Amino acid sequence: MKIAAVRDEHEQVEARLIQLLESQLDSEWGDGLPILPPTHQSVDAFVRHAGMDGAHVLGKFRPSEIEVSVRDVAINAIMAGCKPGYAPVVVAMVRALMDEEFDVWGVACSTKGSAPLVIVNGPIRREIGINCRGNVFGPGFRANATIGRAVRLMILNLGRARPNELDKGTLGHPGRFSYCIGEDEEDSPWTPLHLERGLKAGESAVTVFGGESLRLVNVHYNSADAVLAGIVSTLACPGILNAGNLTGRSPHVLVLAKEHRDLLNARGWNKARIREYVAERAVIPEEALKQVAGEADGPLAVLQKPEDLLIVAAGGHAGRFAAIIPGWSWQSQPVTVRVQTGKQEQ
Amino acid sequence: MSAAPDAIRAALSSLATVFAADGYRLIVSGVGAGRLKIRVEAEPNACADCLIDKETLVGLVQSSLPENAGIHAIDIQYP
Amino acid sequence: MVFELMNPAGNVNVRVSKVANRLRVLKGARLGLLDNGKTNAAKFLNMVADILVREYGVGAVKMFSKDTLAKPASRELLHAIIADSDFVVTGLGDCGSCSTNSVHDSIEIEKLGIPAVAVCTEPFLPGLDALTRMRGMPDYKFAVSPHPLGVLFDDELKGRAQLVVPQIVQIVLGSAESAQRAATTASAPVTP
Repeated sequence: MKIAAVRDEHEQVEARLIQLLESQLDSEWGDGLPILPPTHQSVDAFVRHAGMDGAHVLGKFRPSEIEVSVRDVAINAIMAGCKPGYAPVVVAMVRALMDEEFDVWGVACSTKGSAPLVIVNGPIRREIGINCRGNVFGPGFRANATIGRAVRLMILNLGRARPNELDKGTLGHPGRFSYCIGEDEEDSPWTPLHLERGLKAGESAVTVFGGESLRLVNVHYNSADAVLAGIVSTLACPGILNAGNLTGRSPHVLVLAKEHRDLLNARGWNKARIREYVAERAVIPEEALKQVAGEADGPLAVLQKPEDLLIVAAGGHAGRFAAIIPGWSWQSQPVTVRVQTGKQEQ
Repeated sequence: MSAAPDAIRAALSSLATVFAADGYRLIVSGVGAGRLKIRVEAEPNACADCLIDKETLVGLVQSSLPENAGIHAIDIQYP
Repeated sequence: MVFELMNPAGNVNVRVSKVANRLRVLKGARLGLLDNGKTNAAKFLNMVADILVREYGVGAVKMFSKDTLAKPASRELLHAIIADSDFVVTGLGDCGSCSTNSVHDSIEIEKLGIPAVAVCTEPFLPGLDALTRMRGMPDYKFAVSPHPLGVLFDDELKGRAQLVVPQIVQIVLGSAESAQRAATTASAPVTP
């Protein structure tokens, strides 16, 4: 009798838990995947790791203009599956998302259906287990997957941009579920992204970039020039440029995995030189532009300036691949925020 | 704890009459764990252009619920 | 066993605004009309304007139109309206979406600094009261007519115009004294 009673009780608890998770899955406010229930204990632990008061307001999240507190961020991060230890990265990421320069409203709600790409730099990567190597774009690594997912849950819950309501994305893309990578600073011969953008060695940072899904650069010929040619032609693709529209002339991200990196580095290429070279050569000829735009005033450079190409060293150590990620629009600029750990001045 | 479905229906009854005037039924289809589910159904005489948009309806429902209703998510199903 | 979960949706802190300053006099005031494109909205608004001009000495009248029936007016249109008006009458709010949008537009105009009265019909009052709270202007007042409105024939439309004008006057001038004047004027014979 006693064993049966205990079994019944266990079944009841199970049933309640499943019911809870199922009802959240049915909600229009979810991303379509199950969440971790945000209990007080888990949320409080996350807030403690953030080093600030839970009620402290970090800023306004658009399009809703809701004032977002550290606790609001914690709840969404826990739902996404983040560990409390990720809090400093998540807070930096939210600050970056809410920066006006980034224009999260445009990135999240435009028909182009872009997603914030989160790039993590500095010692924090090792501390929380951010993957910077094989399968850097997923799947398989909790820190990458859940920090990326926290972005989407916040856009949904705090920004109030629901798909096909305020979020008018025509096709969307898989990065909208989660889009978070770390730079392989330990293996890269080049300056890490965050140092190029003004931070100091020893500091950690999060950079957000509003981007499309990635286009693979697939060059196996054993020549640095061939790799560069592959990068240039992937960028200078008339079908993806949309020059005459808000969504053209955007910044871009170039991700270089080890084999391409080493090949380029051995021939004296570094990030600055690659940028200059690519910016000059990634040009769409007038005829090609006319075909897709109806009219053209001459050839068009894809990158407005070399600085519009962010270069990140990431990816596996075997495989001759790189990736180009076009940005949403010239209206959204990448934003880098320092990761602060420990107790903070508010 | 969320308020009981009947209490919520009572709080939303005047909004329901607004919808009725345009030929729609506003139905509270479920309440639980802080989540309120609402379904809007069209009667045969319903006027398509008259239907209040979802974003506004979410706000109107929130403004009509009592302080202690304990609702933090509102799911609305339109016809 | 109860699972108590926290709310991921944050709190919408609605900033409560006061209505715009009331007009001291109607005589010579410039009236802006915002037509939302509903059946007979322009006709009805013009009838209201006629009464305001003839009986209350309102000055210039300008008609503005929204091209989107079921959506709020654009910022550009709102700015164009307040540039040429001292007070505004919007309409018609004789359905759920148009009444909420007319009230929304009027509240936005009040936030820009001039009185704006929406004309709406009775069945939609509860939604509109909730809307004023939602938009942070719980003191906002609008003119109410029996339902239906836009589908009526001209003579009935005129009757409704006569019914709402005193309400509009009272709201725009905002005093008990003007309410008294409005009541008296409304019952006075109409001079053609």
